[in-house]
Amino acid sequence: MSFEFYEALNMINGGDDTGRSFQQRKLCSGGDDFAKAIAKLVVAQLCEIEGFQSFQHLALDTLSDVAVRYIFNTGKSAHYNANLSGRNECNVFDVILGLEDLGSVQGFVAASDVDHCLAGSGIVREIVDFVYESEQIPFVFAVPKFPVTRERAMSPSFSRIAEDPPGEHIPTWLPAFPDRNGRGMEGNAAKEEHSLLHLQKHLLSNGFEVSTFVDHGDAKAKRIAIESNPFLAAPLWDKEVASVVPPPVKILNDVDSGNPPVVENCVRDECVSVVEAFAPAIEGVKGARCEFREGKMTEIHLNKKHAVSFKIGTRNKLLGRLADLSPE
Amino acid sequence: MNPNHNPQSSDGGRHDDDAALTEFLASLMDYTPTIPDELVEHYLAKSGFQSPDLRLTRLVAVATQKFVAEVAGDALQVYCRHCKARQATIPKDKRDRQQKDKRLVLTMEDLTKALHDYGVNVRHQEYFADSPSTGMDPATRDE
Repeated sequence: MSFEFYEALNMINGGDDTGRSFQQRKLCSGGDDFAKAIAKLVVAQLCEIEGFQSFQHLALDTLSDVAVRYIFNTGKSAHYNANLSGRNECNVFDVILGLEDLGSVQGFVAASDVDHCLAGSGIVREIVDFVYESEQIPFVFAVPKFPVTRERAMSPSFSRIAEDPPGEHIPTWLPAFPDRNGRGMEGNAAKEEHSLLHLQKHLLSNGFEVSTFVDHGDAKAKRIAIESNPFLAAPLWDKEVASVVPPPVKILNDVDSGNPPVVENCVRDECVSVVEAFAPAIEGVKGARCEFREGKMTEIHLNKKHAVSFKIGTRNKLLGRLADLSPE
Repeated sequence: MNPNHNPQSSDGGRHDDDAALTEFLASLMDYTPTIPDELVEHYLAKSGFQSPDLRLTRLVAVATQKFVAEVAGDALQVYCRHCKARQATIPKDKRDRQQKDKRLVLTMEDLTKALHDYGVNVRHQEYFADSPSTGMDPATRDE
């Protein structure tokens, strides 16, 4: 095999010289990396059989992507044809129909003959000719069966452990609840605490920040968690910070006179939270529907609350009046 | 299709086609396609294809191999045509030097043209620059 082919094999997943960092590559990749890498190797081998001695990386990526899509679309087409016939397992005629669909762009012999029997389709004849003419060259690597299914440790069901579920509404085939009654907890608690401390020490020694879920009754674990996690430490200052008391908001509801209610928010030496000042307006607008035309509010329909217009007095004595919200 | 017209001959024809297909599928079990079965099975399973028959997997594998081989062959033809066109323009002494280290490279340009015939439209970036000032004169870059 040529030197360039071996180079390609080494460079497929490793020394990519496009300049992208490893982190960026990892973000872009999905869970299909292994299959894609195998597909690239296969396509590289096929190109070499055709006569190419080397290739551009982008060209190889593109061709392998196209080949994968070909397989995928053939399977999708075949599955669709099987479902159309009321089956869920595909047979050879479904596959031939799928291949005909994909080959209809390029064209094949007797493609226009719609009523032909699928067994004698032009596509099949072309594939037969290809198989008999081309040399049989298997893939260079032995590919293992993938994806590998991991054995999951299933928690036993109520019926398996011969226990009655706590409540008639819980069926017995569901997994049993974890033991909460304390039976055996004393024995396990010390073990769990020990393993947790051991894990934290191990992670700290490797330079990782450990943020742990701290059991409130466990002072020792809490102390260790505080030492490791700076956000759990006590605040730097001791004096209490005064809580913010919003200044009184007077809402004058002048319903009878028909004037819109006015909210006066008097500010002397403190700044007022804008959210608190606008709270009545915000609540009013939430129940309202307004249309904006050219940046100005023109029409508002309110459900039940009255329109609110308010003016704010600030330290700098800037008086602003919001757009008139009265319904018209 | 006229079922009443010569039913026996059309039945015979169909039997031949069926027999040929069955024989071909049986021969596929002896033929190992370049595309491994595991890869094809993975993508077929992803698409929803369900069949316990390995012959169908091999049929898809062989069809894909034929497709890729055809595209690669077309790309090679495009490349050779380009090479000949380039060779016609350069002087003779350089031509002899070039022929010694002539390598067949699968380029994006040739692949795009080859795939276009199969209905696959590929567009790619002509070039990538490291920074906005890449490739500029050093004098203007300093400014």
